[in-house]
Amino acid sequence: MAGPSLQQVQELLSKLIGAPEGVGPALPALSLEEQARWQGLIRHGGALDPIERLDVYANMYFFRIRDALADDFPVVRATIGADAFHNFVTDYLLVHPSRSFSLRDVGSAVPQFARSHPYTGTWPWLGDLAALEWSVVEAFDAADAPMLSAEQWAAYAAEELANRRLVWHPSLRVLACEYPVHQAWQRFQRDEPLPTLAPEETWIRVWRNQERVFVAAMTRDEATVLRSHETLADAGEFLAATYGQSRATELLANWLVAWVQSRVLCGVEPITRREQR
Amino acid sequence: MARLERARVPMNAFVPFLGYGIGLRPKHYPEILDQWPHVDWFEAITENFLVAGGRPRRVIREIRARYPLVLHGVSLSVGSSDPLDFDYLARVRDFVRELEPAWVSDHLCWTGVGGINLHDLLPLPFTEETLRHVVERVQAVQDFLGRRILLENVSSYLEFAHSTIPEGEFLATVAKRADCAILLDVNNLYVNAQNHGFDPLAYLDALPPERIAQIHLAGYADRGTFLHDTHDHPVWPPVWNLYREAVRRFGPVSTLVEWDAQLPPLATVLAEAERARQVAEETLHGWSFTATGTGAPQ
Repeated sequence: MAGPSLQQVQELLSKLIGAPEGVGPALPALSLEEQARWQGLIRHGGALDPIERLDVYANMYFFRIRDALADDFPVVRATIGADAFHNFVTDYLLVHPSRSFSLRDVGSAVPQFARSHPYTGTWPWLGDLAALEWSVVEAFDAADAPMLSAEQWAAYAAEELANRRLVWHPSLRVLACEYPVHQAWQRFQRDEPLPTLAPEETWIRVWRNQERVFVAAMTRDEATVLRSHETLADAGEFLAATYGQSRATELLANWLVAWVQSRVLCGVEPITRREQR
Repeated sequence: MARLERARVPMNAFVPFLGYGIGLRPKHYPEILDQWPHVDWFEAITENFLVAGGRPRRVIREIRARYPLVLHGVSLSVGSSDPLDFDYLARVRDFVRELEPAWVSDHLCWTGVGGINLHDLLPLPFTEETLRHVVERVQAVQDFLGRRILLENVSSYLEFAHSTIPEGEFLATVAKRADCAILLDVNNLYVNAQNHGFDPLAYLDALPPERIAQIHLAGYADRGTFLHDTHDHPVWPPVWNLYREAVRRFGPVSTLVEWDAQLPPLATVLAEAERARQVAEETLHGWSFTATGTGAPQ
């Protein structure tokens, strides 16, 4: 009698390897057809039975992904503890099994998942914290960009700059958070005890300078400019509506210096005629 | 004597002989970039560098500028019943064009199905159906990449009852029919022979010498009831013995030491590569072999 097809074998093994409770407990939940297929699928012999043999893969599947997520979300893990993190990953994989060729992407849905996880009852900042940590992952290997030196920047005439598009470093991420999760992230980097956070509207930027990723809080206005305003003229107009022309110019000048120094801003470029229309 | 003469030059005509290298691992980047150690060549995990930029891309470019380098993938999933992932392959192709590695390899396995990636090198049933499927896909991959690839035998902890072809014969037939080369992992072969109770020498005898383009060596963990391919130990004595048998059959083959978990200092891994050189040269009766490869594209 012919054995199962390659596709049948792979679908069955994939289901059993991904079962959170392990291979043995997952078998009764298979359809009758699948149970029949399982019988005799794996050759008997040696010190392990077929369930134990497949469990080798099932364990490696879970632990490999759990460890990858622990690398990407160390502050989330430190916040909730290793055991809770283990359970969190188990829950996560049931909803978001990896669909990428790379383990690097396996945590891409963690921020969204964390926002609705029951653990937010104890740690309501979990979603914000996960979003911050995922931004760090993204910033680490985001595209490179030529940097604008302070000398190059100083060489631009003010009127020349006004209507050019500001080019942010490709690694720049701007987060709007309900909790000051950057404080937890920074304390973790310094090996200090993690804080309990109280709600507080917080804007955070994450970016890479050379090969190091930075995290910094900023004002709502600065976040708005980074997220929404393409040119200095636009940004100046937005700030002037709140602060008046003189204060707006001063604010923008200070930010520009900081952006260039920290390499958040990596250049300016002309806006094409079509874009202007 | 005839064997000696035959063994003086690499048998495979597909790739250059690069000598004895090690797997490139992020933990060793600082030492490598600081000391530029003496090693014949590096093997990099392809997927670690399929990112837009940052440190990984900078490091691989700098290392490629100084050493022969090959790319070793883990996500081809050439045995999956899912369609080939041409988005992934396009990224590999672009990276290969940029980096110009000496060759590109992946595994004879599947890594997922139904669009889900299990991120493991899973074993295949060795049947005629699988054989046809894999051969067709290896050919498609080689056409797409515009180059011959190397396929590696994977370690396994189970065998399928409906397999009809011995593993070594299966690998050999895939290589011949698809016209690809073989990356022979001697540690995986030993692990499988122990886990499944077959003769590893018969496996070696089934392989076509002219297609053996690279050898992997690594350390396994003995779990009591099975051997686990963990890459967290030095190469064990029985694996060195099997390596000698491989070198006797295939002559000098570019050999690489893999070490992934509980990674020791760089010097320890480099010493394992030097040991591979000694073992190979002793086995071939004192002949030493100069690397013929520069890592230039083939």
